Amino acid sequence: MRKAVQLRVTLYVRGEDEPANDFARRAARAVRRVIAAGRSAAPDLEVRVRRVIEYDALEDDDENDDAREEPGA
Amino acid sequence: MRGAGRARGGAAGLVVAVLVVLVLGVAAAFLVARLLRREVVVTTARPSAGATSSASPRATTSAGPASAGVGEPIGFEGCPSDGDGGDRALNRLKNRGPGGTPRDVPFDSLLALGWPDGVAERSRSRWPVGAAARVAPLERLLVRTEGYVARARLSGPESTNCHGEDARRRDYHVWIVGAPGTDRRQSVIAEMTPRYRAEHPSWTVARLGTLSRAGELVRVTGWLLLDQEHPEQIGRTRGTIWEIHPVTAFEVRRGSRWVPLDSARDARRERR
Repeated sequence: MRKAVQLRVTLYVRGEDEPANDFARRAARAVRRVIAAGRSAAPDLEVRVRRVIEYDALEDDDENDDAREEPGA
Repeated sequence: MRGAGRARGGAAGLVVAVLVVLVLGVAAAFLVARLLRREVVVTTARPSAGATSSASPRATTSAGPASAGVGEPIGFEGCPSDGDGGDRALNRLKNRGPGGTPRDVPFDSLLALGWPDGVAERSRSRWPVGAAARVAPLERLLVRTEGYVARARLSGPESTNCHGEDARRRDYHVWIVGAPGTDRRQSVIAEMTPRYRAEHPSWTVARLGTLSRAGELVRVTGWLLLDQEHPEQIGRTRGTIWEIHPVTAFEVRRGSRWVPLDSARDARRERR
């Protein structure tokens, strides 16, 4: 039977950039390229990126492992 | 002759009547203006969880629009005041500088503030016509409210801070509640931004956590801000999308005095 699933994946992208550059846009483009490049790792599945949006991790903070307490706090 | 005299008398009476009406009108306008300037914050019906409110927030302030240099958006260490993307108008509000005299607002009034339909989860550049004008008077208020710290933590990287990853370039989210032990679902979020944190090194998550555990009364001052991006969290981790953001002053109650957090010692140590 044909199956499908929608997955929500939380990625954390980091890198160097000028302060005023739109880092979210740059990161979203990079994620699309990374996933496109990795499709060959699962040739039997069709993987499509539907939406890439910035996610404010804090708002689901109980499941967020990045918005942690400041070091040494 | 008699007719001409009557006409002159009638004209003079008319002039007097017009003058009286004018004087009364000016006086009435003056009185109304004085009364409006005294009005502080008018609360509206409380929105239901996850839904926008049709209630119209309204407020007037004697402070008026932020004058030049007061509450002006300010960048921080190379990051411009509108951040590096996202809702740049919202970012500018989040990066406002110090204000003038704060307006005391009861915590429950903040929690009960409504907002116009159609603004939630929508960039300010796409707000419905008139929405910004209805929110703006409230967002010009530097408010001060009393409450208790429910929780505090370091936020993630975000556009308002140019996605700085370093902890000192991120905000602290402080959940303020009206009574000790109250759940965050009834909280107003107050945010301590990098710029102010740099000026107040004693504003730390650890210190705020101590205040929370001790159930100490605090007084938070900062700019009133409608953060329209997370209405879905109402009833989960916040009670409203109105925030105090940025926090410009944070005080702790010590006896009969308010003491800046910078100089307030731990209450338990003071009692020893």
